[in-house]
Amino acid sequence: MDTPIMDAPDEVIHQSLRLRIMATLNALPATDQIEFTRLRAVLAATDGNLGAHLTTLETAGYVTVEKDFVARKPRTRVAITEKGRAAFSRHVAYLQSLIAGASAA
Amino acid sequence: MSVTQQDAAEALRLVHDAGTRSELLRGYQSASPHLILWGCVYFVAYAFGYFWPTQAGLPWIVLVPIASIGDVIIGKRDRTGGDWTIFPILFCTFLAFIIGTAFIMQPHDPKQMGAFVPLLVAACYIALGVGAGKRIMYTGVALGVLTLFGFFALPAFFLLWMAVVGGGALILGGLWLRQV
Repeated sequence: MDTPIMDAPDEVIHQSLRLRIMATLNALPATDQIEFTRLRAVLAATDGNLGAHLTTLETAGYVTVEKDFVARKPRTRVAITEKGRAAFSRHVAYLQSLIAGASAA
Repeated sequence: MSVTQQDAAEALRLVHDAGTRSELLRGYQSASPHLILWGCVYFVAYAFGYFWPTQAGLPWIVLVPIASIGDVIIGKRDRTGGDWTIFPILFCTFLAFIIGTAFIMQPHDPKQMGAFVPLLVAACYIALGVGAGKRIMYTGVALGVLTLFGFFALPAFFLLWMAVVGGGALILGGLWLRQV
C-alpha cells in the first residue's frame, strides 16, 4: 500500500535532530532497541539536547524510552514505535512530493 | 510551518545520511561477536598446532563445529524475527569449498592450509567490507597481510604467529567494530 502524502510536514519530526533520530531508529529492524549512549554518539548530540528531543518524540508516541539497570549501572534504550514508523514514512513521502513537484514544474 | 523545496532536499539528505550510518553501525555491531569468536578459535587452534604439531588438526575438528554453532546462535539472537539461516548456509558453502580445494590442490605442508583458510577469510571480509563498511574491509586486509608475512617471513613460527597475530587481528577487529 502506498504511503499517503500529507499536505503539511509532521511538525514533531521535521526538526533537524528529531528527523535524524527517527531516520536512525527507522533503519533498525522492528524489534531492535538502541542504547542512549550509542544513539548520542551516532548523532554527535549532547545528553541534554538528545534527551529533550527524545521526550518530545516519546510524548508524540513515536518512540519508546526504557530505563533499567545492568550491573548496577543505569541503561536507557530507545526504540521506534509502529506509529513512529508510519509518521516517519508519511513525512518522508511529503518531503519527496515537494521535490517531485519541483521537478515536474 | 512552510517547507521550501530546498528545506525538503536538505531534510531528505539528513534522512539518507542518518539511515545509512545507522545501518552501517548495526552491521558492525552484528559482525563484532563473530570476529571475536573466530579470533579466539584461531588463537587456541594455531597455538595448539605450534606446541603439539603432530596433533595440529585436532583442535580444528573440535573447535570449528563449536564455533559454527556459536555463529548460528549469535546470528539467531541478533536477527530476532529475521532470517538467520544465512549463517549455516554460508558455513556449509565455505567448508565445502575448503575441503574441495584441499582435495584438488593436495597441499604437502600443513602450513599451506594454515595460510590458505585465513587468506580466504580475509578475502571474504574485504569483499563483504566493500558493501558493509570499511572497518570490516580493513580487518580483512590486516588478516591477509599478516598471514602472508608470517607464511613467508617466519615459516618456523608460522602457527604461533597466526595464533597471536592472526587471532589477535580478528579479536581486535571485532572490538574495533564495537567502538564505533
